[in-house]
Amino acid sequence: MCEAMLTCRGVKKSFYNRSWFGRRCRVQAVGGVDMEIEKGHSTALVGESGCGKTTLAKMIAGLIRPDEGEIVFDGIDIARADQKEIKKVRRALQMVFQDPYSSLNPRMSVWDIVGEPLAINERISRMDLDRRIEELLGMVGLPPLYAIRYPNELSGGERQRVAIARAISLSPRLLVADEPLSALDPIVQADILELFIELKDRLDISYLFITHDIKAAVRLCDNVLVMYGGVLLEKIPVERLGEACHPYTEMLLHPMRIKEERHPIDVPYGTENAHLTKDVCPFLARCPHASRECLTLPPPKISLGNGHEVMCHLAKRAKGVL
Amino acid sequence: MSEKRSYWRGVWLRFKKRPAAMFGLSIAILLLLAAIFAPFIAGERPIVMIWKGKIYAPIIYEPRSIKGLDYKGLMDADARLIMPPIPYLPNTYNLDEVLLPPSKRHPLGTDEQGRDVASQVIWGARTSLVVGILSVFLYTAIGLLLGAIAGYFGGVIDMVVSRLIEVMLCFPSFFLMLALLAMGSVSIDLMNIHIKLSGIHMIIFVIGITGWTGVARLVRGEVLKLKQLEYVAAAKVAGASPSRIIFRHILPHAISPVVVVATFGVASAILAESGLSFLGFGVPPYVPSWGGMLSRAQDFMDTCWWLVVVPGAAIFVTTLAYNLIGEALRDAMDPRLVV
Amino acid sequence: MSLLEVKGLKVDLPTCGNVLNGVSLTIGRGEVCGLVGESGSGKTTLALSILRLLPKGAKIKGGQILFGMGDEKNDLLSLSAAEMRKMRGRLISMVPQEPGKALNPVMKVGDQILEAILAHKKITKDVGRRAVLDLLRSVCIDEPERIYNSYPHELSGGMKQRILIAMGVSLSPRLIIADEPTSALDPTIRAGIINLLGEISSSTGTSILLITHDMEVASAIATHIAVMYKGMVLESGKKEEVLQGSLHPYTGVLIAASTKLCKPRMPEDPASPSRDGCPFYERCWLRKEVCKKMPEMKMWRGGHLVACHMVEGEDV
Repeated sequence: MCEAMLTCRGVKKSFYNRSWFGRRCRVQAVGGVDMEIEKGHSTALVGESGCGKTTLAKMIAGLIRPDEGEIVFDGIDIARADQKEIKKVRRALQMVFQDPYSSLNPRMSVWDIVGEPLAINERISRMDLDRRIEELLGMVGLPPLYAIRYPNELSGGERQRVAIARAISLSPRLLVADEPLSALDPIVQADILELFIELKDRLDISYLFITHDIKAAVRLCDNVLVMYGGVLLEKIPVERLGEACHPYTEMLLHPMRIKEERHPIDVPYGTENAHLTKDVCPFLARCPHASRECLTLPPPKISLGNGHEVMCHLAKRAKGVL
Repeated sequence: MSEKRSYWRGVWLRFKKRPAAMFGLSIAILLLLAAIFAPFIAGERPIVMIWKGKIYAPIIYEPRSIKGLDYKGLMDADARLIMPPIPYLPNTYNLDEVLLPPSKRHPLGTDEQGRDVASQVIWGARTSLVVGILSVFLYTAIGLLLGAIAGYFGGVIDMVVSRLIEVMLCFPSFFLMLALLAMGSVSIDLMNIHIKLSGIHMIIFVIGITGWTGVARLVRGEVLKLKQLEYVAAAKVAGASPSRIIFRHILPHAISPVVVVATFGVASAILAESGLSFLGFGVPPYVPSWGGMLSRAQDFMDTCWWLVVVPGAAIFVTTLAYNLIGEALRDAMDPRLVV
Repeated sequence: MSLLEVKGLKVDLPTCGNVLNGVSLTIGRGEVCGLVGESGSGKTTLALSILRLLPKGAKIKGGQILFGMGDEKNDLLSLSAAEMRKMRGRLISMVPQEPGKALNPVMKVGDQILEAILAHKKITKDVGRRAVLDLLRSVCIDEPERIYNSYPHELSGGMKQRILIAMGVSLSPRLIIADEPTSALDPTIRAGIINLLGEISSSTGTSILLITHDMEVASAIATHIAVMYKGMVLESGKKEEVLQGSLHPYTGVLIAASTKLCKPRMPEDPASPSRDGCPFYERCWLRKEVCKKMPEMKMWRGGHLVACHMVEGEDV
């Protein structure tokens, strides 16, 4: 039984929009997430824009505090930790961001960028820092002379490599990668994915790999978490993806096969946001298998064994039939 | 350095293209040179002197042997002097040469006490520039600090600073300056440091203390915008402290609009100093100032046009020059044009 | 019978130098051509060249863009600005990449489509409004009246893209240029938009030039595929032939990367490529001395063209 490195329980986060007359409108970004990442395992968090995955990633990285719930890493609850404890966590938990064009300070050289975490967190001599930066650049496939270049002289793929070099500089154990491939061309995506795979084996890092493209998850990770509307709809090990049963997961696996069909039940306008006020499935408005049950009752969490869990009325019915 | 150089180089290239900007820049440079080299242009010490076989540069250094010499009288055979082109100091009065129009002796005329107008204008440039630049420096520093803190930390700190800005804005700045200047001088006792500000330092202090609000609001807005950028989040994840983030990651990008505001600020500060000196609240009377010249010229306006036109033109051209530079800088720094 | 024929187009842009280095492309009536290439390949510049919307300072160094059937064939590059304006929207229209940026945020979306129609057709506003509602229905929007009166910020990305498609289709053009219409959208929304474009093509006989970097998106509705790299078309032909029997090494790499996210080991993109000779030279594992010369487009069989020295074919 592997030890869990990162555990999230009941994590919730809402944002408030204040309108002119003081009426506060609550937007729930993350509505109760439970997940675990075991030591030595990598997990993919798959979802589309607006599902809350970036908010969840930022909470795990300590950039935002959740409203409720706990996020435990190495025994420290990040949700409640003070600055000193967070600093300790930062050394083992780092992040790579989505947009290679805005995640690097354009006025800093590659040397400055890659060396910054080391300069902040360790007493390191200039010579050692030089050596370490050269080493890091080599690990991400960039020649040492790139150290004097500036981000605007680099391509998207090269910038992302610099961002990765920065993130691994403190030898973290968990790397949160927020859609690191989305802004890149397909061939460069494949290159960077190869780099992630190589680093995983070489440095023994675990990933929380956030993406909207399941293909990347399949090659890199051991588990897949499917997120929609702030909640996890399905948790499934990669080798069992063929048995995925949530309708949304199937859509993600074969995005180009989606057919425009009439919705099975009459869905009133505004149902996409129904899950913000009532406890119903957030996917209800788009689900080709929705039923009357889905409109009124919250979807049950069903465990299908071997680490496969799903939150769906359809699965319950299917399991009942089996 | 290449990115920094290439950004500012791009700004310079775009700046160069506008003739108005280059005109403004040349005037500003001329002014700066006039201010720095004022004694070389309008003074009573020779720049270079050969006397009794030795070479002296009295303008820089006067050894005891020639101290107190009457240079003007030394136009005899064994002394060769090169005097500054305008061989008068601004405060040297000569009651025989009162209210003279421009002539060969006094290229821009003399005032009611026989003082050379050209010399006053040159030395006045020094006053205007010192006041203009130092006061802008002061309030830019205050504004940067307060704006950055308010923008970055938000919450209570932002509330306090924003209310402070709003309170300052309620006072018409010119009258506030007058009120402060009416106190005469200010003494500051900080721990073991005693500072007494008066005269020209008082003016710099007063303009600085009242002018920071514009910069602060601008910086606050920029910081609010910049702190959302991903590289700021990346720095936080790397463990950077707020001061490191502010000074290393945010402020360098907020500088561009501040430079523009500061340039316009120099023009305003020069105008303010001239205005205050005109009213008599500015620099002490023995300090040459364009505003002071205008003030004294009031009684002789109908007959002595040079007493009004010369300082007036100086103020006008200087303010125009800095405004042109500021406008051109603003366009040159337009981020849409930067690749 | 081809509707659009681009022949040897060479275009320079002010900051980037040579962007199109002899592009040749043919689109027939009713065909959907998937133009696949990465960023920097020049595909958007090609689209802008066809529409004559290149930025100031762009130089067209050579080539022709022939548009029209039979007697109506014109070289678009030789038309005057006024004549080109008549073309745009009416005969050739464009669906841009970012739906959020292409719509006026302070105008109702229905009115924006109406404006586009009224610019070319002399009809009353009421007739126009009804036409817009019909258009909205034809792009599979369920509640046309409500959407007509909505503002862009009230709509999702997919919905906005449908509005732009409606605008592009409003005047029944012969050719629609869709520049990465799905790149800014979520994966599960893409199928709907792409299939809509396919529907429009098959039901109205409109040709589509579908520009994308994703081979999967292109293959969903394309009848033909053209692969572009560094300002040149390297391979083009019927979809099945290009996908299943790809000839150019680059095509194979692109297909593998798009469908499975894996690729063979090959050198990185060089910062300063050599301008004479095959643009793929530095990265190709099949390269020989002869590849230092610019390859010509050769016919492999029946419309399948490839520009590679390593492939035997007949000259076109």
